[in-house]
Amino acid sequence: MIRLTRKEMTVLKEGLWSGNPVTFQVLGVCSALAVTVKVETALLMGIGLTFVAASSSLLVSLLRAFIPSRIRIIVQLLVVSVLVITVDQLLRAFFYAVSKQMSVFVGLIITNCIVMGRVEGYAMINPPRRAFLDGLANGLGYAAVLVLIAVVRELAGSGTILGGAVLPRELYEHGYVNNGLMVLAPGAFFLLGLVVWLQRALSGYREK
Amino acid sequence: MRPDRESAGYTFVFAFVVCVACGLVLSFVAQSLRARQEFNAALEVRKSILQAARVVPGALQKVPLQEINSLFERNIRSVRVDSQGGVQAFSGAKDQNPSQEGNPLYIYHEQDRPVAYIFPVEGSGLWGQIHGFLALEADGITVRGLAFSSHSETPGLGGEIDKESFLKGFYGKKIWDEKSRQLVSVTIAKGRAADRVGSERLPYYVDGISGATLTGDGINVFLKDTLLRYKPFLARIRVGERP
Repeated sequence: MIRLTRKEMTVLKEGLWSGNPVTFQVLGVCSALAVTVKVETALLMGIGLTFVAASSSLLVSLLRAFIPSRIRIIVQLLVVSVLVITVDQLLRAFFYAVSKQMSVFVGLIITNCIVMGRVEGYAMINPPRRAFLDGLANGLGYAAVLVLIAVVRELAGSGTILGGAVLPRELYEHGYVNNGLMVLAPGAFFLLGLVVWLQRALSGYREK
Repeated sequence: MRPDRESAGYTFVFAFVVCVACGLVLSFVAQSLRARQEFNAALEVRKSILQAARVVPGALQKVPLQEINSLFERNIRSVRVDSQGGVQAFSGAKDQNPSQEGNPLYIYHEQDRPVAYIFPVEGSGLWGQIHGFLALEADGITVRGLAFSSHSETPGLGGEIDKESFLKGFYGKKIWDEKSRQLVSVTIAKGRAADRVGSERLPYYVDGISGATLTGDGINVFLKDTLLRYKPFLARIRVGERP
């Protein structure tokens, strides 16, 4: 079992809850709308981003003493892109159908502000272990919001979870219809708004 | 002694080293996964052919990957069509054999009777090449199905072309006008087909996708081009000749 110091625990808690990248920092919203129609894509996007955020934070933190400050953003971008392309290639090799569905959004992890934000804002000035945890926590915090939205959207919009039908047949026979709005981007907008509201209310966040 | 991190020389050397390292990593990843990716792409092509010919009712999504190959080999025959419209047996170990003359064609057989002819279609969409397959019924006039194996159109707009809801619009459409005796192909309308053309032209038009006009225009061009290339062959099967 890995022991975490108190400081490291705070890092984890911030990424996952009190400083959640989506609900608190309001980053990564574009992809949160785009890949949350189905739980499967949301899950894979979450895993992909978590992997990229954690490992790019780790790598940049390891390199931080050597990176010339004038080209630091480009170097960060380079590290992030290499990792994203790797994820994309892996998806294409092992999850072809999913990679087709995700199409451009995997590539867009590069431009996801969460990754660059954590790398520039945290990994550049913190030791590798904590930087890794920070990237991991932020990635997971993002993934959690994505999956939450996707569960609601897939359930309400298609009546399924992970592609399997969960709503009983009788429900449809009694006139229940899937909510078409949930399949479209505006549905995600409303949900995301509600999630941001709920999370901020629970975590006691106050706008300054 | 540590070099000055902010000097121009160090910056150049650092940038160079990082670029080379990243390049090496990426080429290693790409090389080691290449075989698997090509396998997937080839499978996707076969899947599209089966989808266009509607060998299995409904979506092929549920069919396990291993079965795609056996379904394909059981039902689909690949042949070449020469410039006179004659059909030659295809003598290739794989699906592609560039040395053999003629245009590729796939025939879907059921109990030795051709059910559908499947034509590879490809051309430019809005952002890049679109590859797909158009299937005609044995009469050579009626569209049986259409499927796209790869494209790079905008998700949510042009990207909707691979959705069943759009592709269904092609089922039963005609590519041949019996009255004027002309190959008219099938055209994606801008918006709802019924609002754009009169009811007598409706068999040749499909509802378009809003926000994807340019993608639709691209498809219209290459569908027609493809059909024109197979014109002699289509003329033969229209009069009842069976390859």
